[in-house]
Amino acid sequence: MKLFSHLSLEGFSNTYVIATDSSKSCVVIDPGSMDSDLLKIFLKNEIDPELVLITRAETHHMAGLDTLRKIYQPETYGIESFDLSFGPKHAPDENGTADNLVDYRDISFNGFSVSAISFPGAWIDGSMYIVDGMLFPGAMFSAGGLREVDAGYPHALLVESLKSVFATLPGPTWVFPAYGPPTTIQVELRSNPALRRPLEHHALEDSG
Amino acid sequence: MKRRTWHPDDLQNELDQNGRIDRVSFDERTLVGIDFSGKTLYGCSFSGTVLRECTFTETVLSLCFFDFAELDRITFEHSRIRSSTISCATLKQCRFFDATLMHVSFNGSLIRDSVIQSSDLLACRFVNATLRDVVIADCNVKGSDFRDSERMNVRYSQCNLSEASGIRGSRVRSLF
Repeated sequence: MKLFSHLSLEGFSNTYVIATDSSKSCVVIDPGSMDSDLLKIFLKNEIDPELVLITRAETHHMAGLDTLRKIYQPETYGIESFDLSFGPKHAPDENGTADNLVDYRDISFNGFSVSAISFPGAWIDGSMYIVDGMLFPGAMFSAGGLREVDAGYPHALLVESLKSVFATLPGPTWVFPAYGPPTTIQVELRSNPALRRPLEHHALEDSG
Repeated sequence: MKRRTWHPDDLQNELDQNGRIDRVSFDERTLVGIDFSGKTLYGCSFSGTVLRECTFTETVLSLCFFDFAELDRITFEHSRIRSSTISCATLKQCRFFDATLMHVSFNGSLIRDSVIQSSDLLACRFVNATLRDVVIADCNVKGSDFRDSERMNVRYSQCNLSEASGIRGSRVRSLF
């Protein structure tokens, strides 16, 4: 498996391209722009994008999608409301509790093993993906940082959701966020101030 | 990303024969006096590796992981490091000179008795890092993040600190 990273100069978000050593198809995650550098990755390595994964239906994550679709015919997975075919189907749990924070779905595609993770309770418009054991969290968190949400319940819910995902993955798992440098699960649990800080008193319990 | 491993005895030979080193795991190894000069390292892993007196002169590193590594007397001269992590690591007597670092994370690392000089530290992260007896001179720190870092006897000179965040004199709010 080969991984290429490309920095989009609009929004400074990362686009990732994953290819196998044998196949000519590749997976593209968050095409924030479709420029000549990204095209060079495809041409130089003789790979065609056949699957596009969007972590969030927001310009910096998908501005290059239209152009990409004019050149290639990739299947696209992302958020339902933006006419893409994957999305969190449940709203927060019926009882309004913090149960069922994380929803996993597996996508098998042309030699790639992809798990899509949504956060129906915490973040309705975003997904993370695990491809070949690597985690692509989009803008959910970055090395040493966490997506900005209101303090209190939303923050506590996001932290709890992330921790529940981290608990299912090995510590050395490589993480490639939409913004900034790569990291690992172990490093984030050790050094990310937002994840290390104790949650506000009973933030989750109080909301119920 | 699957990685190969090289036998320790063959390491310098393998390096000498290969200009580009793709997806090789050096995890948990002890590397002493290895010369990586002029090589391109891509997708390599040095997790938990002990590196002593190794040289990375004019080395290009991309998507490399040095998490929980111990870097002792390592030189990065004229090297380019991009999208890599040196997090939760210990750097002792290391020297970065005329190096370009972009999207490199030092989060949670201890950096001491080290010098970073005439280098670009673009959008690098030092969140929760500890810097002791470090000189950062003539460096471009645009977009770098020093939130929650502990800095003791760190001397800055000729740096654009106002374009970094989380550091005295900076005016930029964290971008994330």
